[in-house]
Amino acid sequence: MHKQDADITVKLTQTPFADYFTKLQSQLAAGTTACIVSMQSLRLPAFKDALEPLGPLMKKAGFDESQWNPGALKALQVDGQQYAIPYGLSTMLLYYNKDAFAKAGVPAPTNDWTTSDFESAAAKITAVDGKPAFGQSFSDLHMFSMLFAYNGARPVTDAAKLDLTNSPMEQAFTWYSGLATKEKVSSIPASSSDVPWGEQQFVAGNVAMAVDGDWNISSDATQAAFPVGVVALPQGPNGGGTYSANSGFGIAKSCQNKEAAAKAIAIITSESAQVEQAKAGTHPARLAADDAFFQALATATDKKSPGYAAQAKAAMEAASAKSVPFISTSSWDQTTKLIAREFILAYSGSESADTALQNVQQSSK
Amino acid sequence: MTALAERAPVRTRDRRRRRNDTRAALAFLTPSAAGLTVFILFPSVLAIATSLFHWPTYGDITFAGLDNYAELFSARSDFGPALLNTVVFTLLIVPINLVLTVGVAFWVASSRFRQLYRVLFFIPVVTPSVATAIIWKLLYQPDGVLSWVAGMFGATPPNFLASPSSALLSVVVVILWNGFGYNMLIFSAAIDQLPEDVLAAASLDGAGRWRTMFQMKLPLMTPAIFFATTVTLIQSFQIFNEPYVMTAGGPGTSTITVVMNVYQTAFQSGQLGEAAAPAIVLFVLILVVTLVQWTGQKKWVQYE
Amino acid sequence: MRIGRRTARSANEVALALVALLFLFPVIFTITSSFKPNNEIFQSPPSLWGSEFRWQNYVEVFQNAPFLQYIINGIIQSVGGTLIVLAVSALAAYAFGILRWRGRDQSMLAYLATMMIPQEVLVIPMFLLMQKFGWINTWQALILPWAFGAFGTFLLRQFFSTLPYELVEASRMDGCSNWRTFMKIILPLARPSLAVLAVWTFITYWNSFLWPLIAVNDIHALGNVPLGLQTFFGEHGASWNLIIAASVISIAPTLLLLLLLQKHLVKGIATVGLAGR
Repeated sequence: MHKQDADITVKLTQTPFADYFTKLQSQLAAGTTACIVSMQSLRLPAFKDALEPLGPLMKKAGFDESQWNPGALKALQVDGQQYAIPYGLSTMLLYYNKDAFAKAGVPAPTNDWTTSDFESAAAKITAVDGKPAFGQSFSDLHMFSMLFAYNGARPVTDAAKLDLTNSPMEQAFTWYSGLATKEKVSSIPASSSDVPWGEQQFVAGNVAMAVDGDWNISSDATQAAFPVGVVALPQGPNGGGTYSANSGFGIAKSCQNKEAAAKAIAIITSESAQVEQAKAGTHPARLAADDAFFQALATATDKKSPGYAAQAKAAMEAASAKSVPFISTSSWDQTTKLIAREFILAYSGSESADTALQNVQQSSK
Repeated sequence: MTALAERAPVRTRDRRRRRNDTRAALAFLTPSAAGLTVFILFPSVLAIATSLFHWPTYGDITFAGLDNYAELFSARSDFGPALLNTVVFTLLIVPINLVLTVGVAFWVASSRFRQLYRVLFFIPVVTPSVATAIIWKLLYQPDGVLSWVAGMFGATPPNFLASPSSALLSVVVVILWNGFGYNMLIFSAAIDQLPEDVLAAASLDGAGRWRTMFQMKLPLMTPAIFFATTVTLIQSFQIFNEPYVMTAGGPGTSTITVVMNVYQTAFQSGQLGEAAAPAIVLFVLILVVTLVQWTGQKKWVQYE
Repeated sequence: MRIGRRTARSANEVALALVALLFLFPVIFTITSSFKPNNEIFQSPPSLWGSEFRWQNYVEVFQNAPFLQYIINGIIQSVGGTLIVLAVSALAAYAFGILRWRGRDQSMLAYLATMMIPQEVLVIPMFLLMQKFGWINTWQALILPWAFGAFGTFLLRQFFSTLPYELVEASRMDGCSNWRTFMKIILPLARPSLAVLAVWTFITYWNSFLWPLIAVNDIHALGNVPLGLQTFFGEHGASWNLIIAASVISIAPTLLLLLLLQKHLVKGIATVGLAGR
């Protein structure tokens, strides 16, 4: 694909997502990477040394901070430096199957739901349906955001060091894996390679609730064969809120023509580009594109789930108000792979939650 | 023609031909030998060299001596379980594969539609192993087809790929399925070539079916069995795709293999030196096993 | 007695057909699943057919990803690799199987020894080598590194060495050079074994995963089908109906090749002596 403007040609190269950050690493080493790289807030700590701080460059390209959602920008900063310009704004939400709630006679979730509301609803729906009501996961955001909402437990310190064995984390993870092993209200991934699980089972109609990012707010509702509802994550007594995570465009340090790259980023994140993207179902990072997003969402979902767009707007506002950017470590890729391998043992009850956390902590380099 | 008169000229002709042949052989071998040197021999030497350095994809390279090998046996290394799994995979796959493929090859040979069956059983071989892994993942789903079938027989199915006790066996089944047609085809070719007259004579002598099978047919097929064993053995030591796509090595370390260990250390953790060490160990292992097999073959393989 | 034998025969055929059906069930289930809507893939209890027959999945495979491009890329790699392997191996096999020269058998043994070096040992140095050559993300990086293995040479030599030397001698008497003998006499005779080697090589290139995963940066331009299959596992969930439809498509080219060459395959394996006699 070529997007052309003035003298700049942007050539798009693609890699399967599962291997994107692995590849990016070797490309940076070989100096063969593209000028503009797509960067996820989670992976930023691992790659910030290879990326150019964008401040002065973007200013030259006409970047105006006030037009952007501050949360969206913040998620792509390290030590106050902007390393990538977001193309979206993402927070984690709880999606639910309206039919399943009605059938079990359970009142629908709200943005003020507590963890115990969530547990008792899950128990009732599981009893009525005969199959688990909640879809669990070990994908970083989907899982850790639930733990964060439960008691504010965080897997990574402010200094970007892995810290899985702190006691809030042990409590929260014991609770989360207990949803499957003790309460038996939760469906667990079929294998360590099933990194998207809960949201997939949700869309298939196998579970009544799942955590997913607002990047799927449109597709989850249009793909499911039932009416979908969405709220902010249920909070425990010491709940920390929810996580936000963003993807954006950064510039490689090895880039020969950084000013042109900055100009190109300004074009692909311009207001008109963001409006187009909003219409296609991605929650935009620019404030001015917000309306276009919710209008498009209403058009796409009103027939199947009336009132969904309004509910989504309220849920996203509630979530954004208490969202914190998710910080990861410099070897996050390796850690997520260990998490997938170890945590499934805790979910299936073949290992205690504490042991699983300790194993990942010890094996991470 | 008298032998005496012929001998001398033949010898010179022979020598001249040999000289010609040597020159021609050199020419005919050049592309292959050059490629082999650049793409196999040189990288092999480089692999040994790499294993002696701390060699990150991104950063400075420093000499490590045997550190990378010592690191393999440290507590946090995945190498131990990976090696164990690889050996278990091999010990399960090789014998089961050979017994089943020989058996089915004979069975198919007894059918009127043998050619059709040979193609049908070969289909998984031509299926990309990534696709195979995807297909089987679908079947292994909790509440998927296999759970459902197990349920019909009143059994409680395990969560096939999530439980440490069943994950490795589940992957073994897939690898067996995938490689089945390859050896079956080789044995089918061998069966087609069994000398009819000898077998007919045996049956006239009143040899029973099983006796003909074990005392006549199978011994005649030992070269094929030897070839298939060697290939299957080497392949089993190098298992990667199926567990990588199906289980990502989990749960815990129950399905990681040496090659997965190499891949993850090199291209996910970015440590090329640390990754080269297990690769070299794997090579030595394959070399030893193959050599043992080659020396052992005289005892049981019947060449004409 | 006769009727008994005939029933036994039929029972044998039926049993074999059932076993084959069971064996192929995963493929059959995949094909029927490839027509299901996404939300029915993981439905429990599972059903063979979906609620609707969704041809659209196959259309979307090509719309949502450049899958046609992956197929073309795969064909370029497989055909390119196969041609080089056939040419290089046939030439070397002529030297080892037909020509007579000092040190021939020892050299062949050295060749065989290189077969024991697993690809995985070579992957890391090969990656470094490709970086040095500036070949990362190029066709040559995908095709050349694995085109010089000794397997092809070994396989063809097995066949060439069964040919009577008089054949070559006679051709030379007629004034043919080695080159002409190779082209006009040996290659035509070697067709079945060349077919076996071609199928093997094509399948290996077509199905290769680990090396393309490492050597390809721009999957759109160079990615093969197994790599393309991975792209359906997106950042935000996987479209399983498309993954499955794409898997079915990925089998098609090699299956076609198998059907075309099936007659040669068994014969070819027999003639190259892999089957032992």
